[in-house]
Amino acid sequence: MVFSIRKSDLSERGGSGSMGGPGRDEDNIGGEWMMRGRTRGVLRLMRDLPLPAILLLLPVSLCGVVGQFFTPHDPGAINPGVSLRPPSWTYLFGTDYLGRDVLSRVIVGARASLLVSFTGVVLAGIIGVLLGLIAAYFGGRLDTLVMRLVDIQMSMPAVLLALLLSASLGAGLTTVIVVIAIVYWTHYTRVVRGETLSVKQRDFVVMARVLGCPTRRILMKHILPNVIDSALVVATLQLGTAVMLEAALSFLGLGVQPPAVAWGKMIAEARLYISTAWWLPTFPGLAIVMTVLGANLLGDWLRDKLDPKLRQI
Amino acid sequence: MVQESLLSVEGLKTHCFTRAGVVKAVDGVSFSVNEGDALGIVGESGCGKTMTCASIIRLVPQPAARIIAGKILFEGEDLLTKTEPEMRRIRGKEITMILQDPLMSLNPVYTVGNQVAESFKLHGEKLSRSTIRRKVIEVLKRVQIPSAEHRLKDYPFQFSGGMRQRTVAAMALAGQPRLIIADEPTTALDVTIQDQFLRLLKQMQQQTKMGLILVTHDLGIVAETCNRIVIMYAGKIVEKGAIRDVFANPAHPYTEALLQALPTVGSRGRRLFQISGEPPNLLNLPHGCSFSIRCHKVMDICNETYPPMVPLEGGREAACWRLERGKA
Repeated sequence: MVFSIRKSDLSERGGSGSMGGPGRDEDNIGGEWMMRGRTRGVLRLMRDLPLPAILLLLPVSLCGVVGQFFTPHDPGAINPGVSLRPPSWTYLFGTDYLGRDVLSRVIVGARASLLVSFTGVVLAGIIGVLLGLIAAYFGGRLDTLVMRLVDIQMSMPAVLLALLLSASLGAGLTTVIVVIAIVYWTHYTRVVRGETLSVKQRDFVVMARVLGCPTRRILMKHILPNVIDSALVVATLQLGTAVMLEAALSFLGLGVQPPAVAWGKMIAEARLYISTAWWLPTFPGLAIVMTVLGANLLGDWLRDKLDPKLRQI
Repeated sequence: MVQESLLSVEGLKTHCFTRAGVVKAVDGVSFSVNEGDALGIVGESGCGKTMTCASIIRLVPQPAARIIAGKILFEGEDLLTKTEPEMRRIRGKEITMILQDPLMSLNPVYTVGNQVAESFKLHGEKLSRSTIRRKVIEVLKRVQIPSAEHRLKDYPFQFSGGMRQRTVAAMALAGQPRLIIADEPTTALDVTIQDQFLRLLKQMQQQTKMGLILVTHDLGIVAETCNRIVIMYAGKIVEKGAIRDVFANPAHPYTEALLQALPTVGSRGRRLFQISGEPPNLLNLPHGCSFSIRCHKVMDICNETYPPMVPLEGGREAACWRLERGKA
């Protein structure tokens, strides 16, 4: 909500800090003028949308959300009679060693990958942003403690962590989400801490304190909205990485368990057939590439959109 | 009849502890502000004016700086003994502050209406949204923002500098404080807007009888807006008193020099007066009186011991050996 208002106002009123141009301050006709500005701003926004990212991510997201209702075949249907068939008109992506349709499985697999990565990244974000805010705002020993935690965390390999957690929590969707959260929160903390340190000094934060604003409110209302932009950019970029982590974990058997479908697991199962049935690892692999690329492009676009505007304000 | 002062600062000392040494930003400052008073705190950059203000509302940047001594009596109670929650209640409601840069003083991601409403929410009892909205429009009208009702949805970048500063003033006034500290509020504004804003402040002050502390380095502003003045140099007060007295008859050589340095209408073509020397390095103050190395009336004793505050007639005081010794 913050973004849409800011963008439309900025693009309409020529934000480079100009006061809306000469005369505009005074001949404000209230609501009507604002409405025109917002509509024009929205149209301009649509022109700037990241088409490549959307083209890549939209199909994947659709698969994840409603894909299970639109599979050409039942993704779990075992049919030994048609096992290891190459792509044909009936089986567009071919079949695997159990005769299951690869296309259907790829469609349904989107769900696990997206769900896990999204939830994991959001969870990591919540933890990371909160810790970053607290560390920077309160400083001192709290700051040192948090940064040491970050260092410790970053020195632990993700896969090792996943193994340990799987051993204690059992393999499965939840474990992967937890692993993603634990591995990725540090990225947010670093970024948010830096931004908070600078926002903390700005006069409006001092004003808030001068006016008697309690600390929690200052953090949530004044500092958070001004640092959340960077956190969002990190989040979109991490979506791709999280998908890859999930695929790696599934590949190792630590991710979703049968009968659930996940791209990484499909690739794992296809290891034996790489030379004989190329379609088995290729299509899930392409799906992963599509998702990660889309997420990266989205993240880049978001960063370009948000950062320069931030500098302007 | 002794009027109990609104604010009485006694022997305030705020020191900054740096690796290079201790900087005595505020070194034994005492003054008072009564109801309805407008006190100007004047001095060069680095003389301790802002630190004094920060000390009064207890927002010194810890742990580097700390208030180490003194009393700050606000309506009789010592602020230095209050706990942080108590101070938070006082800030905004009893004492507020206006800062120098109006653009930075407002949060860029919230509308003006939202931010002014915040001040009401912080200090009012639970008020309904419509009441808050009404109060916001009211206070914005008081600070003379044109078409206030339509301005609520605007963002700070859509306001001009003067309007922003007036919005900040509105936020400060929302809690109906008894004392406003304005730290160089007009430095970032151009001259005509400066004038408007100061007149507004003066009007607000007279209407509500609140105390005003105006910190600035501009003597002209002080002359127009304030009735009492405190002049600081290197962390200490060198002269204080009623404006008319001090300006007509400066007691301290520094005050004299400051007034002489003001360009006057008839001085066109003549060389401007300059105070010799440089602003003091607070880590390396001269022995004795801090102003001694730049003083045009320096005596031997000035280089040995710091002069005491000498009370003069009319409630004025100045710290100068010449006054102590009776020679002027």
